[in-house]
Amino acid sequence: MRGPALAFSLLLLAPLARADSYELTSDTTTQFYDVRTPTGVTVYTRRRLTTTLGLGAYDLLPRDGAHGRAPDLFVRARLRYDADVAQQGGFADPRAVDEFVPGFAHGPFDLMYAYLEGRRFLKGCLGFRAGRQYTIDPLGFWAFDGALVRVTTPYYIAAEALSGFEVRGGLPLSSGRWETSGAWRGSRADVDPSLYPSFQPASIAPAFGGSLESIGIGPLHAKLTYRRVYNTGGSTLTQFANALDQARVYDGTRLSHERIGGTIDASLGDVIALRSGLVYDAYNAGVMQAHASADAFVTNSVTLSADYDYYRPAFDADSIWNFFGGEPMNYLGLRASVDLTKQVSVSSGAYGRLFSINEATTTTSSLPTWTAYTVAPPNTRPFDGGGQLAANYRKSTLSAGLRGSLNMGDAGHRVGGDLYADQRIATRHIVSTRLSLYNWEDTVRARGTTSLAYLLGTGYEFSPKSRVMVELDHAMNSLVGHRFRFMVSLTLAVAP
Amino acid sequence: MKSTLLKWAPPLSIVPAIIIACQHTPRATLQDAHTRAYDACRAGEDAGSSKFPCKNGRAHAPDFFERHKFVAADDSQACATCHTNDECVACHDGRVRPRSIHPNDFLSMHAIESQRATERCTSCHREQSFCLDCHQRVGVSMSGPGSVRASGRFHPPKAEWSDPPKRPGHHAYEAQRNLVACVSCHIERDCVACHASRGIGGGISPHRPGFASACRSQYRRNARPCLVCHQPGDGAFISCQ
Repeated sequence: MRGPALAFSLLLLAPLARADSYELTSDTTTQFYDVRTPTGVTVYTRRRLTTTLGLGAYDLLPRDGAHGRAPDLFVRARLRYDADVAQQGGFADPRAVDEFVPGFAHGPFDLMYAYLEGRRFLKGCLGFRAGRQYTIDPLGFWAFDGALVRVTTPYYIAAEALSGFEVRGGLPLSSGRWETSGAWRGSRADVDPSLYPSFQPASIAPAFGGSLESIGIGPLHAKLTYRRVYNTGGSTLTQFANALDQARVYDGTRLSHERIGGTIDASLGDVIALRSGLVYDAYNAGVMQAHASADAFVTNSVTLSADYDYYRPAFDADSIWNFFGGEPMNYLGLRASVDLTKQVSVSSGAYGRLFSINEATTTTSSLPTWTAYTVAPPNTRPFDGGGQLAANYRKSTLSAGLRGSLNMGDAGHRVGGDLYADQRIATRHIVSTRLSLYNWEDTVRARGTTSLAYLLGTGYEFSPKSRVMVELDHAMNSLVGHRFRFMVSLTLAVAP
Repeated sequence: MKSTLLKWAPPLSIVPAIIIACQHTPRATLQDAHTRAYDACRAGEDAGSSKFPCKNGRAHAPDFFERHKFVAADDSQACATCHTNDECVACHDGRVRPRSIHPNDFLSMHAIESQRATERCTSCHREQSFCLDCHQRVGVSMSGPGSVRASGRFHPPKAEWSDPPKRPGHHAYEAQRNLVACVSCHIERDCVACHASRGIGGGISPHRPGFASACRSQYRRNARPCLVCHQPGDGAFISCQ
């Protein structure tokens, strides 16, 4: 634990020498909870410690007096340590064949981000980021190591270009959280090559992309984003090696994913706002996501909205699941939001979710008996529906609310809601409470229950960005009996 | 201290007043200005300020966390006017369950939620890099280590779930309906056993109708998944090469 933390500290303390201002932050959370059967038997135990250390060093360039227009340079970084000390040692030990879970690590370090960012260079036209960074764009969350350059032109358009390597689990100081779905990867160091053939070795993943974005065109805003990532290194093909099928390995640079995303927004004064977006997966030659949303501002306090969502799963090109018959899901929701007073807001809505089943796929087989025995489901368009109700009350020291939902369909149902309140007392003391009741049934697994839970928490705020919180969470239902979670969180921020 | 709330200059169409104001505001007061606007926006104490910069569909209504993707995906720069990356990743890359999103005993009921609303799960969770690891450790995945593998069957009885004849409730239909849910527990070896071509697996094709006419491009760009299930000389596979 000391090595990465020391290296991280040295790396980040260097900019402090030049920075006019800086900020050191840390979030530490300990969680203690068990999962038990109704008879009290502990199925598994969690003793988790998650801590982050962050740094921001600003004003690395001397100021010239033109505040807000002068070039700006700063560094931001955050390192995370995430451990579960209650986990058995064998989970991370390849020699413990009966316990080993490929990819699992005790207390991994993860460099969440660490980048140097510049803004407003070349008379305000050029910005850049270099290092490990997140991107949030029409293609979703993503993380890469590399450089991103943004050019803002005076012609209502800005362009971005990026190049680097996708952040992948199994590589040093990396988490696989934002990898493309569908590939089980990690470090295969010390793992027997003949075992766990589905677990692919992590290798560097070159990536590049870019975007074009409109700026300052009155009520319109549009963005077009492109990204391509490659897989490299060897990957085991043979899942059941035997005398007839010797272990085969596929090697070489190949596509991981190539996607294009676009969004268009339009606002017509205070009357209506429209948003739409689409993501095209080039490897599968099809649309994987699309959405459209409309908000009508009926009055100053009433908004009516309609949302549409389309989703079809697409996976990393190394994955076999791109070739399976996963069908799309369509979602349509209608909602209304009302500001009853300055302090009270209420939102409510209903939705339908339409799944698809392609009968033809289910009759395709090299075994003729399957075709003969196929019985198509009576409803090839499974439908889910439901609604939600949410309300907020906010005053200077009190935030309270209600959040309830109803979800039902042929796969089961979930209905319930939460009441919550957070009260600040005497400026620095915080009291937090939550009461929750849910009933649910899973028809696929033939299980369900009614669960009652409550939370009690209290905290103290040392400064606007530093606080300590202690929380006790207690859930009761017939499946797990009593489940407790005790949590202590400490947030610290130091700035000159 | 310099404001960390500003990102790239947001489009003028969204927050013209504050951007112009920012560019002419002494640096020392910049953070104060943003903090006031941010607080007012959140607290809703000032009717005028509470609309800023959330006008035109960006108001943070009580159900905003369920709808914010429509705003953030379209124009994350606008969000960056008030929010830092840290606020986004606190939930999206968090290690502590946010109760506003995962209430009550969510560990017990997350399965039904994932079967219904996968597109929402995937905004934070990748199946093979997040879900699978935990499912293997607690023994609900058939690829988990022997010491923790659950003795009880997770799915309906084999005769209903995977044996012929296919009928409503068969896994073939459930996989079509929500393949992502399958991938959160299963590794490719589990599927290859039956769905790979004869000689490698059971020969039961999982492909969509017409797949063979369009697979050549995929084979050319990444043949790895093809070769997991097919031998290079496989008859049905030759047309893809």
